[in-house]
Amino acid sequence: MTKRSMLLRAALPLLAFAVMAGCGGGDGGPTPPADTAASYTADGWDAFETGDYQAANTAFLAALALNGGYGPAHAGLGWTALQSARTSTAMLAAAANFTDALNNGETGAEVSAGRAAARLGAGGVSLAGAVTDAQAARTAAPAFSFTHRAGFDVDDLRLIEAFAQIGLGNVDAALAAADLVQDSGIEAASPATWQVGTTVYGSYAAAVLAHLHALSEEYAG
Amino acid sequence: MNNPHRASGGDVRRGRPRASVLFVLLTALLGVVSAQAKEPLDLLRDPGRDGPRLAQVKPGDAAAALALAAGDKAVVPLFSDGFEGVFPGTTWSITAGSDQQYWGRWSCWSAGGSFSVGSCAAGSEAIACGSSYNNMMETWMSAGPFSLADASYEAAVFQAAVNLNSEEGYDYFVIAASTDGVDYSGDFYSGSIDATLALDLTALLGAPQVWIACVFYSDATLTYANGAQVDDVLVAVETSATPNQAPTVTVTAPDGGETLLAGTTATVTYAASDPDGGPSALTAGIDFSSDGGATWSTLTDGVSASGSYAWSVPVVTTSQGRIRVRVSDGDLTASDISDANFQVMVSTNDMALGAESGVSGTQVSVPLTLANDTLVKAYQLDVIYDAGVVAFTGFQATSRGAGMTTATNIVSGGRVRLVSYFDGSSRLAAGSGEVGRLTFQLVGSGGTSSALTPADAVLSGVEGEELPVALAAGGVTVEAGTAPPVVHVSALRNPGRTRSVQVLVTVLNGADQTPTATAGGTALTLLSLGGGLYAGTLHLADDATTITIQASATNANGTGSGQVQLTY
Repeated sequence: MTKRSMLLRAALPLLAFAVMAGCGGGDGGPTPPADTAASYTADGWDAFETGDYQAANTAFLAALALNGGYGPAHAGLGWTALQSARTSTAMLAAAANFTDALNNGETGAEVSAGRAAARLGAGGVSLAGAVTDAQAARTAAPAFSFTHRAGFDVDDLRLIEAFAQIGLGNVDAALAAADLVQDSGIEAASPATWQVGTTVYGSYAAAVLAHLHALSEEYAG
Repeated sequence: MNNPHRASGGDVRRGRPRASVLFVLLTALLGVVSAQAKEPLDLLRDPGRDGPRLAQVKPGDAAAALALAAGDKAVVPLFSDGFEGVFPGTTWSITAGSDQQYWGRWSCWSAGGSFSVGSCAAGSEAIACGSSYNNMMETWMSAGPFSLADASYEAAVFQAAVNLNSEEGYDYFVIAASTDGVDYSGDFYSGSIDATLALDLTALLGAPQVWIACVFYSDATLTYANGAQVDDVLVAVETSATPNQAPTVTVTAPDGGETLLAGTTATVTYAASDPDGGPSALTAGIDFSSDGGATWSTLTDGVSASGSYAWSVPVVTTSQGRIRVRVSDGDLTASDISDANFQVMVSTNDMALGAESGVSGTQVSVPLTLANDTLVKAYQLDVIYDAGVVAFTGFQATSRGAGMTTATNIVSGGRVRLVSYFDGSSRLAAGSGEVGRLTFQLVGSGGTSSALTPADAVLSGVEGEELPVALAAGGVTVEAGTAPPVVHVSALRNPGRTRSVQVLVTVLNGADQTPTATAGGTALTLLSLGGGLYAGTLHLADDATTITIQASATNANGTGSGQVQLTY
């Protein structure tokens, strides 16, 4: 049994309870509107924004139980899976949720951004895909800012690209992306510029890494 | 034209009894019936002053007959002779009334080339150019047989370029054909003619054997200079069969203007095609000329027409180089020559990179030298190196190159492009010595080395013209040194606010093997990215709030380590 189906089984009693509660009102008032995939998805994002990823996950699964082809719920599921992933395999599963969202009509920067983060977290051969997704998100939304989390914006997309590039050994490309967040002044052909803070590094790559590390501490995570 | 005369349809029989003159006259007038002749041409020798009613040869006659070759169907030559080679050889059979004068090859006249055959050019009384033929002479030249049995043949012609100077109405030239090699039918001409004469052979289509003949004979009085001269004999048929179409070829390189360096390998390229793909696969032959196409030497022949040929440029100096490509489909051929001359130079320009060494973590400055025998305005050069051993850090113009502006571009990991040029009117004078220096950071471990391989050099002369240049590689060697590794650790948090971290480690001064790393006391796998850079991915547990990531590396001089601490 997959993790997703396990979560779905956990969600179904809640769904049943919710339906029963809705039907059991004895005050004779108006019948509340029926729950839909959209309403469950909205509930999921509400939970996500409060940091309750378990509740968000449950709501997104409930939405998909009603409509398995509902793209926004797949995207929400991807974001919650991203937060709970603790292995490269789990990161790849999160990335698969974003791919499901894309396959079900979801477009836009938030889906590409989520998959970029998931692929960066998976590391290894997924890093090239992280670069592609981060660039796609920036292209789709040059002034990107994630609706459901303040502070995750276009600079984070640049950092995802930079971190993925350095993980691929592309020092120049990593520096180019990072310098769009904060110019380092580092030049490959000028050892005098291989400085971050007060430390002068013995190699260009070491200086670039130190710069990326400083940006990570300041902006990321 | 001096009243040339033609008697159409006269028949000639060789080696048969002679017919009466009256019979000959009648048959000639009827123009169809064969005559009997005891001796060759006797029946024609004396047609008499009141002989056949002779029609004037009109210029259009020959042109009309030659229309065979101008139609839209295929015209296939069965036989041709321009008499530029041996005559009569085994092709022609010569007979004559005597051995005094008969057909022979000479150069008194020709329709093309240098030679023709003259009716009195051979024999014991062969004439010189401009001299008169004998009275009472006759001479035959015949060739064959040729087959006209092919069902696809729709018309046939025997034509020859003829220069005739004979007594009008008495001394004759005959162009004739036969299906048995004995009885000939043909057309009679006398007087003065300088034209291509044609005999329509269409009536002989289906015949498995056809002979052709040219005859000249004179009567008993009055002779003229030269008699009959014949050139460019052709027997051709028009066929309904689909004609084979000729292939095409176009030389694309070198096509003119290039400068090739002697002793190097250049690529000859060409576009060849055959519209009907046959009858055989296209083959190519390639020739080189160092004198603008006056003479050619074959580089290759009979090879598949692949479109390119790796040519080892000969060690010659020429400004009149040309390439000719010939293609053949097994039947028809085509050729093309470079549109203009190209240059082949024996280079005396050399660029060389030096060899340096140093310990890991330091920099070395590698000289670039140039030996040039003419003024140089600029140069461009790619240098290929091992990015795991050295990192390119800079390029400066030095010594002889002082004053040149430089620019660099990292083309890819391990390849840098250098450009150096004069902004103004300055030029690098002919000479030899250092023109620049490349700086590299040594990042490999002790004992490693990197070749510095020059490539794609462009050396520009005064007018920007490309000069030939030979290249020599250099190298950098990383010495063991005395310093232990210097290890830097970086931890990059995932901007998606996940619990994953990219761990990057750099090692200076070299390491014997991949550094070891731990995160919170647990081993972390690092993979080498080259150039002393290593990477790994870390996933933090939910309860990890502060974690220390350490890495250490060892070389012959000791162990170095570094660490970084993350707090969540």
